Amino acid sequence: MEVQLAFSGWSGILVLMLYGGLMLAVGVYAFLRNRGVRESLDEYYLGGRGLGAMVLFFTFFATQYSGNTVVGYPPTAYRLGYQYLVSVPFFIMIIMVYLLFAPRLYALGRRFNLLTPVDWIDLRFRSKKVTILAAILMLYGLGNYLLEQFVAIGQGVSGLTGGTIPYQVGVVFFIVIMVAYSWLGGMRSVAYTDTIQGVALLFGVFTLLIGSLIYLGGLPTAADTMIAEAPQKLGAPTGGGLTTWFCLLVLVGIGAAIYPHAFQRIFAARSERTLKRSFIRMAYMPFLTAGVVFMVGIIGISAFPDLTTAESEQLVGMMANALANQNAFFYWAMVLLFGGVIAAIVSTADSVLLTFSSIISNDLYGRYIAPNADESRKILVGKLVGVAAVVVLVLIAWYPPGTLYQIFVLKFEVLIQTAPALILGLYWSRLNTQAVFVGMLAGTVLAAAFTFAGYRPLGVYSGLWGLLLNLVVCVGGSLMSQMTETHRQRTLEVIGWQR
Amino acid sequence: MKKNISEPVKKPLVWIGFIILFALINPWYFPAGSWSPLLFGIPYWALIILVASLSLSIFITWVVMTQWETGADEDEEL
Repeated sequence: MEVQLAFSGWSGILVLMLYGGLMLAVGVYAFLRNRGVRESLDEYYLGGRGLGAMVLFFTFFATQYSGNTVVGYPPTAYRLGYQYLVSVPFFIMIIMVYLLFAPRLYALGRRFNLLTPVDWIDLRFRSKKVTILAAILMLYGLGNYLLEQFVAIGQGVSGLTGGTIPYQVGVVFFIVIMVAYSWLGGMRSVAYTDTIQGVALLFGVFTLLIGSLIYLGGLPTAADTMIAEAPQKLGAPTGGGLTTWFCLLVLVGIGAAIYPHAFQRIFAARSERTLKRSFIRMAYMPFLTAGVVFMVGIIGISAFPDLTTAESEQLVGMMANALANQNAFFYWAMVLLFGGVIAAIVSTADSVLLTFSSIISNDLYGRYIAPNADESRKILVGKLVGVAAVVVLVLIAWYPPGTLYQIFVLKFEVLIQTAPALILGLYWSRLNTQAVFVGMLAGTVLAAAFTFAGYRPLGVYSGLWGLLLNLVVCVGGSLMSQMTETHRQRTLEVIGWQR
Repeated sequence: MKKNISEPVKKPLVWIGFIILFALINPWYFPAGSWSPLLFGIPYWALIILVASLSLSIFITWVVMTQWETGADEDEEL
């Protein structure tokens, strides 16, 4: 997704510096307002479970919509035409999936003071091996997710500044800023900066759309081009297109809702009411974000016809360049847009890093290594391991290993294997611990093997095959096993709360 | 303590609504490859998908507002 913007050198640097300064200021503000933030896990990782509806909404928003939504979606819409309209409903699906587990999860989070997704798994199954396996899968998936964001930050920065800032300098600058404000204020910093980052992103995509409509032709012009040259881009999807549409709705819906950093945010809500309000707002955001960038991609079809796949990846950069040449307003708006894109990537990365550290602090160090350590020490260990992981990931980003590179690609395939334990465990008291463990492990191995082999039966993604096996083992194993009375009692104490 | 608890996942109406709307946001019910008539340059089927998507958002709003009540906030106040 490297986008070269020839028009912005020093103005790009100026915006990035201002942006970095603002983020740091937010971190200092959050730190000064809440001095006790480093003393308590709840304060540091969940903002004291006190995020209000607006901030909670923006932190969900900025975590879900990354820089890739802005830079990567228009090229896909350009190539597929209206077949990619699926990007609007698939973001709504995420909220639908949330509604199937968030109400109970939030109530349990309050009642049992849950801090991380692994915390929930531990409470539900009371099994060291299930807890550790889930923690490892999540850390692994989150680590790779973070790696992807770092690569994107570097490419975004060097693209925005026309190569004035080399890739490496961009990555280091933003990682230092990100770690600094996260350390200062924890979840509060991350959520406040998410709010700023979300506003920057919304402003950017709207100016891009308005500019494209004024200077590059509207949807009717794009439709004329498609009728003449590629009517399949206008037509309703057929056969394979329908399967892809369906798979994307299911994959994105389940996948994005159970990403550990998305899952954890449910615990940070101040009240059930604020959580509800955030979800209602989120249900309409797809039209204002995915819908807008989709239109930008469609307009590109007539504005920049006949691009090859590789060229079309640069579509947003080309459109931004064309708009920036119109007048000073659009020049600065486009510089801000790219600032917003980088902001969006940073805001996804900071959430991922915070969740990563929280699993280290609470679930590995705090639970097994030093259960008696005080909370400030647990936080410190989480921070330090987080930074160590960041350093390793940056080195991997710069010196990609030639042969084992694929192990850094697995993210979603691995993370989704925790879904049966996380969601089925909420409702089904018979769900057996041993079956969950074997299912999770088998699903992961199958998904990884299919991915490495490049094997995709029936066109369905490897992660879903793994999940299917995982579910069969979980459900089959649970039905075949006998549940002891003590086990039943204990499970009902946790999930039978509403009786 | 008796609480009035309601979870969307336990309401048949919620499931029926989600299933119907999920079916409607998949474009299987249009003649393959058709696009005419266009409205403001948008193919008719895309507009119908957008209307179905908006209906899903509205349905979600209704579910959140009326079908979700776990009393977690009251626990907090006690």
